[in-house]
Amino acid sequence: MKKGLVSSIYPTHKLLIAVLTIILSIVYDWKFSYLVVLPVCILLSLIDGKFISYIKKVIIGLFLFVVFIFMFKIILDKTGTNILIDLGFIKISEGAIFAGLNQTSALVTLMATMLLFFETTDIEDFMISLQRMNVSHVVTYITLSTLQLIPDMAKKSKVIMQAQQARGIETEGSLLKRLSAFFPSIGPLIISSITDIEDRSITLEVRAFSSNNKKTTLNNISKGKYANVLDVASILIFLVLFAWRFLG
Amino acid sequence: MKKNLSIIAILLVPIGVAINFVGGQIAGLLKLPVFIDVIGTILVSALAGPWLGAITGLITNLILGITAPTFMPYAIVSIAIGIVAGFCAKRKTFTSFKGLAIASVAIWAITQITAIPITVYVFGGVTGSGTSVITAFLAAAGQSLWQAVFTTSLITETIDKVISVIVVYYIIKAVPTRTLLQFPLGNIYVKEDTNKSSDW
Repeated sequence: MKKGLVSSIYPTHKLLIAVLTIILSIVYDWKFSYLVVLPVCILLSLIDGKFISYIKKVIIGLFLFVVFIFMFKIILDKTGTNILIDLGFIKISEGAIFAGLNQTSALVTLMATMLLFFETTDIEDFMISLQRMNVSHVVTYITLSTLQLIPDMAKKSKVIMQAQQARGIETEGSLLKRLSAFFPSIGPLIISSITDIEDRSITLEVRAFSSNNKKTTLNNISKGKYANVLDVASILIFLVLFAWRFLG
Repeated sequence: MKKNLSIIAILLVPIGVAINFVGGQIAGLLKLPVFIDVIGTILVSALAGPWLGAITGLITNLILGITAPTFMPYAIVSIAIGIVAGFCAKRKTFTSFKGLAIASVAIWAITQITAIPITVYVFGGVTGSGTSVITAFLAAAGQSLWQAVFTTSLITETIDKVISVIVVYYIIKAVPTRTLLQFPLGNIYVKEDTNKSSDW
């Protein structure tokens, strides 16, 4: 399958650009986040062909938060600047809107860039690129196996809960009843997972997990021709913009 | 950190993270008004010490961040909980009810100290869950933002942390001795003449 433009960038380079953008959003005011980063990220997702799933995540993750923060700023507003909208019970002033924009600016950049990063990056590729940067294979193993384990354990917990229900533990009713159902639901899950560790450690040991030799990977990802150029360029642009904020 | 951590201790971390996730899920299924998303972190700290506990907390928040990057700033809270719980465990607080009380208070306190500034500075008082409504109500009723955030988390976090610590205590009690002994801090929890059937 052919990858989109953003998806084909080497993972660690993408992460570098995302982190630099987030730092810039902290030093610049809201215009940078709302008028530059957010539109650019949406445009990139469109080019990459991931627009629909990306925009869904942005709306779910961001919209609620931003609306909540704006509501806070409006309710707590004491700036007393000129009022834009008067709804009778609540007055929306200019000061509250700007306070909201500034409060959410770094958050918007964080959400927009990180969601785009994970939307266009395969976690396995990301881990391979980290491992090539001499990050320990223990770290990459822990991350990948965690991602695998979460759905597994969620499934197991449903089975356990059904089994406990069949034995007569009530999972509905008063708060106290539901609270006391929590212990028999989570207990067996955790204990069985802990006792499974021994088997898993033997499996890993057999596969030479603690060997000090270089690890090989099944997937191979290439850095692409312009990766280093991209790196240097993004750092230079970052430094210029950073300096401009304080000197300009 | 020790250079050669045993594989068993390393394998505890993914399980801790998964417990953090699934614990919250079960609480959601049972419609409990608490999050219970630190059981895994506390458990790893109790069995394998502060540093692996901190890593468990960090990874939990990073993975949460894949779908909801707003959780990423709270990684600091999870790391702090892991470290504090680990040091409590080293002082054997997870072996008696008196110790549990101390551990609960310590974990509760570090959560408040680290989480409230993040909620106020980064999110302007909003936490993205239903509890924000309480904060908004308190703030509108005349409390300052810091006070309102503190009162809110006082209500929600206290039950949360106490339940988590109690769950960890009972789980460690139920783990077979031969498994316990393989973890770095396992021997804290093993009494000499236990009559457990699994004790060889």
